[in-house]
Amino acid sequence: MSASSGPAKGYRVRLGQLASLALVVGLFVLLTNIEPHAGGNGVVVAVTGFLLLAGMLTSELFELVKLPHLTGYIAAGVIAGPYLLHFVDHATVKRLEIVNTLALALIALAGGLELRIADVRTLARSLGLHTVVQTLLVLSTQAVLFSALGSYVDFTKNLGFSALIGVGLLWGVLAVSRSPSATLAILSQTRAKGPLSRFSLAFVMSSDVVVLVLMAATLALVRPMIEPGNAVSLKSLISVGHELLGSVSLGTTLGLLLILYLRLVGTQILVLIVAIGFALSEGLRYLRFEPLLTFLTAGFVVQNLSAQGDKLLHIIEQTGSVVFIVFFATAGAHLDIPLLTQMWPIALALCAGRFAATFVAHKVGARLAGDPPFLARWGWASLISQAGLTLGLSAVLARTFPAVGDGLRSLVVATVAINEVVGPIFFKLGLERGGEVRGGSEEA
Amino acid sequence: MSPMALLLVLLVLAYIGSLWAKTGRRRAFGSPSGIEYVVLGALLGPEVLDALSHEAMTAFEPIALVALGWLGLIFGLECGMVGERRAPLGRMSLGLFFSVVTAGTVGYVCYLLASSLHVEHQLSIWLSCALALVSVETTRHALQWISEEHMLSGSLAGLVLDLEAADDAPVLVALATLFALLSGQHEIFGQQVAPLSLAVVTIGSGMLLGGVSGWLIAKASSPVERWTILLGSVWLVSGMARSLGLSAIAATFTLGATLSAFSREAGNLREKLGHTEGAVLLPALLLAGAHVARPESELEVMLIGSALGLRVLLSFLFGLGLSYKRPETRGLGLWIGAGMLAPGSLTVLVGFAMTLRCPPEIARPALTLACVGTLLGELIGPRALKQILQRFTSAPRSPPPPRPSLEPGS
Repeated sequence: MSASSGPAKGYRVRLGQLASLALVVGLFVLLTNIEPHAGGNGVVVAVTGFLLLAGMLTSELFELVKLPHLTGYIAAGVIAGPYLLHFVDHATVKRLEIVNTLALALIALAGGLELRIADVRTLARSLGLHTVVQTLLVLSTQAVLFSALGSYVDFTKNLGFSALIGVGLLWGVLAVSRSPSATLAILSQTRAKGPLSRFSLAFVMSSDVVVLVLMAATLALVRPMIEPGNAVSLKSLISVGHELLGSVSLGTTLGLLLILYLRLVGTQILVLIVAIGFALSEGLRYLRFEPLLTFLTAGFVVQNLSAQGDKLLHIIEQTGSVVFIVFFATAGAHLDIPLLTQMWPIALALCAGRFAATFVAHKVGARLAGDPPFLARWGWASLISQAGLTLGLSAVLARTFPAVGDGLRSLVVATVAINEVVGPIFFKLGLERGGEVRGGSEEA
Repeated sequence: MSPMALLLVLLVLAYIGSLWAKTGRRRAFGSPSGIEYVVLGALLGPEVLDALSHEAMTAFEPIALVALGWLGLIFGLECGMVGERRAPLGRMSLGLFFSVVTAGTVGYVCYLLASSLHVEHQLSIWLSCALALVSVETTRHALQWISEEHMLSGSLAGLVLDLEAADDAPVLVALATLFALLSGQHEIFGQQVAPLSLAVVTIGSGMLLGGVSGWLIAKASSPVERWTILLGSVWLVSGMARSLGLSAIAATFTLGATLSAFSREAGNLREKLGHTEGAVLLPALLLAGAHVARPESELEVMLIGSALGLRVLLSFLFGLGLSYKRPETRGLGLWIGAGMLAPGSLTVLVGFAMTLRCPPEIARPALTLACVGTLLGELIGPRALKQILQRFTSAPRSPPPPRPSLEPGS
């Protein structure tokens, strides 16, 4: 996904990149200091271009300190965002969400394409055990930790005991969620291959489904605890069942159609993917299906039922990179820095708790599954990142429980901010330690 | 039609356009200028079937802006080039001279006509400038199309291509100036600047980012990095220009021309970007067509008619002049003039850029003139070119190559 690769770049090139970054920033400063300017669509396009260039250049410069490109993209977004340089305001960030639609479709499709049935079979036992241990341990410890910290959190300090436990359980489910986009981004940048890459990808992708089911079940369970008078309802579980089945069916159909297209036509795949990414995402929203699962299934079908998988994956990796830069830079611009500075003690405590729980759960899972030593040592590294899925779920909670939802969402934003930055760094470090990194994207 | 449906239509067109790349023949697909997509857009637009509502078109303005910016980059990269060789300066200057004379004459006559009909002075100036700008360009793509379609080439083909190699440049520089003047007074860091300075900002930002992206591309280690640099630069410069009311297509044209002049990767970039042209051009032409509106007054009809008539007349005169200077083309002056009547997609895109920026009383006649002129040129130009090329081609070339050679004397 990344723009890096090839031979190492010397200090002159790095200086040139720094100067180019300064120049791009300077141009944007000039733009913001010419009055009057109409704003509107022009600014959205200019911001997209700025985030692309600044994100790419920052990520290149971050290579000097061995940070992943993803961190560079996010950093560019944070710096250009509404809280620092004010190049990108909230309205513009909102309008760039259309890029996210496409990015998520590409990420999920690539994720499915990376899942080879032979790998999944080999890892099946390990994945199953890790999923169970991670879910139980992280969910329970995070629920307890959140409940224990409840009296220090504004929106929960006046809640009754059962309501606090209910919110704690929801927090626990959110803590179980991971970031497929960050995982794929790092794997794509490093072109890593090996047991850690395979495990991380399979685990993070499958944990998406687990989290969706878990959230539905927890919602049904905690509703009467948070809002007394409501009874336990299985409605949300049934709705999730529909969502999952529908998504998998549609994803399978899409995968088969893609195989047909790749076999019979095989060209102009980029335009086709963009069309599918936008149009199908819109259709899925209407049908209330899960886009991530649909595209993931489609990718999985193409990879495992045809010989076209690697071809499609290569095209997505080549073309998706540009979309991913904007996606993560926008995510950086989204980060609510004032909120983070306000909530950092609680957010940090919760992140530390999640980190510890994930680490311990991985060690336990690895021992039970008999994982190879390296995987046992570094497998947790890919499980720290959180991003879009967690934020999406917190938005659902905000709608479902207006009394606590907004506060919960703010706290999620603050913790995701930390995990989104820290997670990729650990994952890249793990891949490097395991010798799985093969360098950047190859020449086409 | 909902924005999503429109997006799908545009993507289908992008798909069709991307087939150009597949055939390896940049222009031998549909008509040379792609006017049929403009007509399709006009039919779908609010004036005829109203399938494309104003709201849908407004929602797609960012896409239109991005498309115009990208096409500006491609035009800039190709400016002054014929295939992979630079057109001789003398011939390019002659082509530029023709463009300037045509623009000046059309603009002046339109101004006189508008003034005599009591159009407000300032509006007369803007209107005549806008009409002049869409009366100038002659597409080299028509010739390329004929060459690919009928496997014809020759010394005359080389001459015509050289003449047309750089005639995009004055149009886009003038467009940058027009938009800057329309933008009025601005302040930069609290200091008042004259409107004309904004034309310098348009061109300067394009040149600056052209230089930076050229350097970055030279140091880039993967195609993905190169695409990221190009896309980022084009979007940044076109978005900047648009948000200041300046010309995005002119800014990216300058970016492309700078890359073409200074980057060692220019040839490679031309090749790669050429493959994307169709996919971007067709949706842009459809959107342009959808913006075409009927003239609202007799004045507009008269101005459009006059500009068109003048353009035809000047083309014939230029053709006659050219045939007089070159003995081997004696007697073919009118054919050459007719062959140079074909405006290309740039003319339509310039008209389209005006609809996104200028008041309707300026943009409406300009876009209509651009489309009508292109349609007329399409009916006459390629046929005339075929005639003269057939006389100058000793033998048809054998099977169509991926990229036909249009070198003079070939």
